[in-house]
Amino acid sequence: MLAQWNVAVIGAAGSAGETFVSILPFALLGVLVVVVAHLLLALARRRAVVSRSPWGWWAWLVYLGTLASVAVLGITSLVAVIRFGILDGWWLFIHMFGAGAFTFVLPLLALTWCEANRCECPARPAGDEGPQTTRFSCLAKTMFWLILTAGLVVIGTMVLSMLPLFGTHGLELLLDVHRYAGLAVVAAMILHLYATVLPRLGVG
Amino acid sequence: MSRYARGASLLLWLACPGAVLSAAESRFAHTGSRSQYVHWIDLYDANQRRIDPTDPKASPYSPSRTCGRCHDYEAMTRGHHFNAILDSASPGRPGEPWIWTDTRTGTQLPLSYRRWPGTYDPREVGISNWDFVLKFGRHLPGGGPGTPSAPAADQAVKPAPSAEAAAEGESKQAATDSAAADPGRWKLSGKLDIDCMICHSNDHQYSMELWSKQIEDQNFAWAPTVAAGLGFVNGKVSGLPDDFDPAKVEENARHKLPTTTYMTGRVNAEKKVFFDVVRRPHDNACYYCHTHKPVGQDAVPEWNCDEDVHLKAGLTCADCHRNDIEHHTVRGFEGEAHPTGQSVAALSCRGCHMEGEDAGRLGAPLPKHAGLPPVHFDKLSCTACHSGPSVSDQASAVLTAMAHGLGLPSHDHSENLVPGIVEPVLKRDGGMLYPHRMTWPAFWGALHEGQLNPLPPEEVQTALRNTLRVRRGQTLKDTLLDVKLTKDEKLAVLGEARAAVAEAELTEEEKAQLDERISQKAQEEFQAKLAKALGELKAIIKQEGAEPVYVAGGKAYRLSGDGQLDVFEHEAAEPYAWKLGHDVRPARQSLGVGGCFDCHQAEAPIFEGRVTAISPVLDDQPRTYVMYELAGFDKFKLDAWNQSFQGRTLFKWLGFTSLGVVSLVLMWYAMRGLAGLAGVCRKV
Repeated sequence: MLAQWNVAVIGAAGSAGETFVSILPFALLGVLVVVVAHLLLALARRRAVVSRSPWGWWAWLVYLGTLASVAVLGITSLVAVIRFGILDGWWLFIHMFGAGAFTFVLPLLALTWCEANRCECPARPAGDEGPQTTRFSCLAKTMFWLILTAGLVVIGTMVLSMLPLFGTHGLELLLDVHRYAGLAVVAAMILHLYATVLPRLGVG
Repeated sequence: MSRYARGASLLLWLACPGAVLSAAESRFAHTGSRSQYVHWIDLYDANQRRIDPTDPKASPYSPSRTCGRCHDYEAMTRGHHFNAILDSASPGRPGEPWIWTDTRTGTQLPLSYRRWPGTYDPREVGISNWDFVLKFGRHLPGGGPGTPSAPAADQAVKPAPSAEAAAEGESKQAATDSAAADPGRWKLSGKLDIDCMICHSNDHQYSMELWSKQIEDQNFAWAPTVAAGLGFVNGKVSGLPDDFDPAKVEENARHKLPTTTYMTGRVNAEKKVFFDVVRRPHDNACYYCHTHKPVGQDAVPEWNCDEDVHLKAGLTCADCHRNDIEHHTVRGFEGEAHPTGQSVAALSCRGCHMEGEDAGRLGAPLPKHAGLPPVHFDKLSCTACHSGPSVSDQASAVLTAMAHGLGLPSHDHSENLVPGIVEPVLKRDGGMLYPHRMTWPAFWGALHEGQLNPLPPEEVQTALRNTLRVRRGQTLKDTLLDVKLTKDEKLAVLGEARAAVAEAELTEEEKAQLDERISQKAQEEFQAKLAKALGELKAIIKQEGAEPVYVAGGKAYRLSGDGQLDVFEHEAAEPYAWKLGHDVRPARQSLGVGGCFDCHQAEAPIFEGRVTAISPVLDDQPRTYVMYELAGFDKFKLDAWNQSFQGRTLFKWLGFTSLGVVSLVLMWYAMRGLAGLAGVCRKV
């Protein structure tokens, strides 16, 4: 049923690739809007800078690994799709290596930072927070869990498509889900990077 | 219809005798029923005279005049099987050529009136319609070159489909004009009409062997009568002199035209003859011209070969390869545009089996292709995985009906039969991979300003007969291999002690040494003979400045300045390939059924399979191609891609592990979050 729904939606939109390419600018624009809005809000509030705990070497390693792999995946897929309409040839080859790296670092990222990105409700008063939870802002935490969730979907769709379980329509559906989940990972990563860099600039 | 309407119709008919008929009307009557019409019909000869089958001087019946009384014969001449020679016919997708084979001169020339790239128009190489019919009539259905009418209209050379043809020299046009002007012995043989009964006979009496024999005897007009079993013929046109005039011959003269005697068993009291006719041809009719036979040491014997899976499922050839009255037979490839404008998309593999308008015709199942990434459908045709023999380390030899005369009794159906054809060869067209059959042209030609054109085969045979000295019943290759070592040569190989020993007492190693020397000597003699032949060919080359060349096995040979043989590459020596569509294998025997590693690994036959050129002459270093070269793949990219698949299994395990860990983390913190929320709610 899902596959048939997918066929109908894609058919209405022209083709899966064309739909994704047409959505892409809006998604990236949305990221930019969020960044600008958050920045303006942070500047307007002029809150006292919350001191963030420094990262250890392991955290840096994992984060840079994640950043690098998402960058490779994002660049190869988005550039290839925009320029050629299809992810193929050397672009796909490099994308595959990025996928391997991402699959490796994502659980490490999850295990390393899961506690530090725990959200508490209601939030403790300033100054009363434990050392772990001061590491990331609310935006960063939200993006962290979004990266994990979307990353799970990205890896899951790709692994499932490598098994002889789904026919052509099912594989096309998995590919579509993979595309959009991948876009979500890229967007979340950009926002997470922004949210992580911002405190180091003395804002928020 | 009211009387007023009747009256108006009558007036209209009287006023406009050439009025266009409506779509539902035709000048030929139809039953409009799916049931077969019983054909008790009068026979008519080529002069439109009604035939009395009981008359001992009866003429042979003419299909165009007999069948043509009720069926639009004129329209059928424009059909795909008959229209190759027409200017108006579209060349269509390149297919199997006619291969002019002359074993005496080592000639294998791919011919096509459609001028597909890589083939030659028979008229441009000095092959007249007459020659063509005599050579290939065994597998011609009649019509086309068999029915020359006004030479200027029907035999004019068609506009070249490519730019190269525009640069052809004057000598080609001269040869064309010469071929077109030669009337042959048509006035004696009669025309070779399209014989409808080749395909539409239902009574299994139709004999293509008799058809072929009548053509061989130049009894073109008699062939339909004899082949259909309607009668038998006494006499041969081939025995008549060129200047024979039937009007001047007395009854008991030595030469006379063949006589026809009809079988009275099929004639009723009204002197009508029964034709057991079927609308849709049986597969047996198609098989006569469209059979192929794998040969060679590794070939599966015929009794153990399976037919196309569609036929085993109950379909017939004509279920997919169907046509309208104009006989524009659907070829069944993707993107085919039918001349009638009707969509035939659903009669292609993808159109019938995948999705789209009219998909699922005739109960075609929708394949799941489980686990096959959809990108493969953009890179591989359906036939690449499902048709023809499975791709292997070495492309294997195959015989075809058109090229090797399958369907007629012969003692030789071995892999040595010329012309050499191999399959499957994977090549790309429009970015997609298709399986092909491939053959290498071999001919004697003239090279002028980079353009290499074949010389007329019969002229070559005449010029080189004494040089090549091929004995009757032998091929040029047999003659070249028929080499014996002299006593001194044997002495040089085996030494004095062993040279005198009887052959049966020689060791295997000694025999191998002798064979190697014989092979070497044969090669030396071949080169000397070839050089001499090229020297003698200069005499028949009319074009000034042109040099003689021999092409075979993917190579071109010419004489260098010092009279030595020079081997060089030329476009004209490149192999000619045509796509194959049958036999379709069952899904469980398709390429990739074993998983990704069927293709994506080092040394996979689809990329690394070898194709070795087959030459009608000796070649101790035959050209060998690798599939990826022929398909135009980048070797480095291919190797990198295939290597990456080695990590595929590991990646799957890594993926499962990653999914497990991340899922657990998400679930754990989701539960904690929910627990936290529940606590907050309780406090509230």
